[in-house]
Amino acid sequence: MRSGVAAIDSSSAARPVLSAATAVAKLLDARVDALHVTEVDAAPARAAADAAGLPLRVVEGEPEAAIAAASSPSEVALVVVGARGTPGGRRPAGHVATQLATSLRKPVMLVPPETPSPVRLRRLLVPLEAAMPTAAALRRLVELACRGGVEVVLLHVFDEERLPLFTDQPQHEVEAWIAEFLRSYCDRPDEVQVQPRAGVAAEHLLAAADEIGADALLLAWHQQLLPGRARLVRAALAQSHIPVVLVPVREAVEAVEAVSGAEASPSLRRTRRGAGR
Amino acid sequence: VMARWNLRRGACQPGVSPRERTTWRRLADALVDGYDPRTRIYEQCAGFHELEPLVISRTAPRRPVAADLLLGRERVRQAQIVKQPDVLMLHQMLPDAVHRGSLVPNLDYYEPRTAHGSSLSPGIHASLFARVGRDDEALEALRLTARLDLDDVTRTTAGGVHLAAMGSVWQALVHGFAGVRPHPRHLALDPRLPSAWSALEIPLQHAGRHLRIRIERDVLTLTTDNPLVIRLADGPMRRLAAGETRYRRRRDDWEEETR
Repeated sequence: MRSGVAAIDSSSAARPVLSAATAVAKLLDARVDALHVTEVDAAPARAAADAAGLPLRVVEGEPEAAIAAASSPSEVALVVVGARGTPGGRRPAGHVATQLATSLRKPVMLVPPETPSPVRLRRLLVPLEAAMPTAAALRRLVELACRGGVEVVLLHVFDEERLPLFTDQPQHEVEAWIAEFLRSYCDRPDEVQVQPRAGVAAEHLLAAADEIGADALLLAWHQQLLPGRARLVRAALAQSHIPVVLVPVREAVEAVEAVSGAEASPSLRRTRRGAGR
Repeated sequence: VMARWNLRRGACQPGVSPRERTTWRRLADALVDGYDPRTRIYEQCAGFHELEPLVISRTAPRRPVAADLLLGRERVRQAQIVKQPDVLMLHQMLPDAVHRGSLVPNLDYYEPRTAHGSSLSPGIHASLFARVGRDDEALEALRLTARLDLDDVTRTTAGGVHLAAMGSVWQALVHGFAGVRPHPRHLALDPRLPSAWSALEIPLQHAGRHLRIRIERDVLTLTTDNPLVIRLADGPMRRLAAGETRYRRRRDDWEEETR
């Protein structure tokens, strides 16, 4: 059976992490393995796990290494961690969360401590550029979300380079463009919505999340948080009040197979080879 | 300019009373068209020169571009941004109704301020660039327009092809590079073949005649099934006999080759 590792510390972030893990595990048809890497006192973590009705495994050691080790088995489909310990904590994310998100070859959900509990996943906002590698990375999770009855909204932001050339008749063209976009980048065109915007993606992402009442964000990325890279991910992690799921692009094949428990499609494997990343 | 043209054309129509004729012509003469004889530029609309002097060719990452999306509708409204040819469309549609010699100044002024946010824009510009002999710019605009749906440039071709843009390709070839203009009593031609092309051949119908126009470097071959009156460049009116007639370019004029 697939599982999700929910790594909690002793902070108030633990409860939203466990709540989010429970919600997403339901979607993936997975169990939740709650994990605490003890430093001083495991009692607050135990209390949080008890409140969530989850058994808790307590281990010792360096948090990143211990969580990575617990996440390594193939049945682990997803790792859920707190984005930071307190609402005023480190941006874009705390040290442990950042290390895990940039190193694990699996989807990582980062949960802000101020995420309202219980976490419900009814509506997912997915920024999607018109690029095959990112679309491929997100394809399976989008499919699982749709199958699970989650409303999926794809957000496409035209930056300066990708702005449409012409706007002859926007009332017809927008629909035609959306249809073509979904045919190219989404397996379930009839089950998702597309919101096109123009401008700076990071500004539109959070505004759109508020506007549609998103419960979580789903982003594909290349796991590089170096200066000047991953602007959208940085903005999402730094400013979002809802969980952010990060899916590695370069390991799209492995990520997909871990999440779905099924072999990735031949087209995805071809995309992976062609991406050259 | 168009209103004036229509009033004057209307005044010539049969069935128009002398009083109407006089009134329409007086109105036509009184119309203000925004032309500045110093700059030889037609003002796009009253107040256009007072708008934000934003030259979109220098601002946009590339053109064509949907300027509304790039800058926002409000800013576009208040700036010297043109979506598609407007003053320049006058030069395309009514070249005899605009001031002689005004095409180049208006092309130089308005084209850099044109976002080409309409798929109809590049084809018309191709025609106008061809008229003034700016082959590279003409061919670039023609190429974009001609391949609009072949390359699915807009990512919306599955929703419908751009028929009017296809029409503008024809206009660029016929009115632009071939310089064909119909007149009530004659057909004008002023070929400007780009140096990159070896020949351009166009079948046409005009005033009940079936014509074929073949343009080569310095040779123009006209074939017609019935005689008609033509004018080549700024030359005199000529009678084109039925059959095939060849002309050879001599500086700015065309000389008929004896058979």
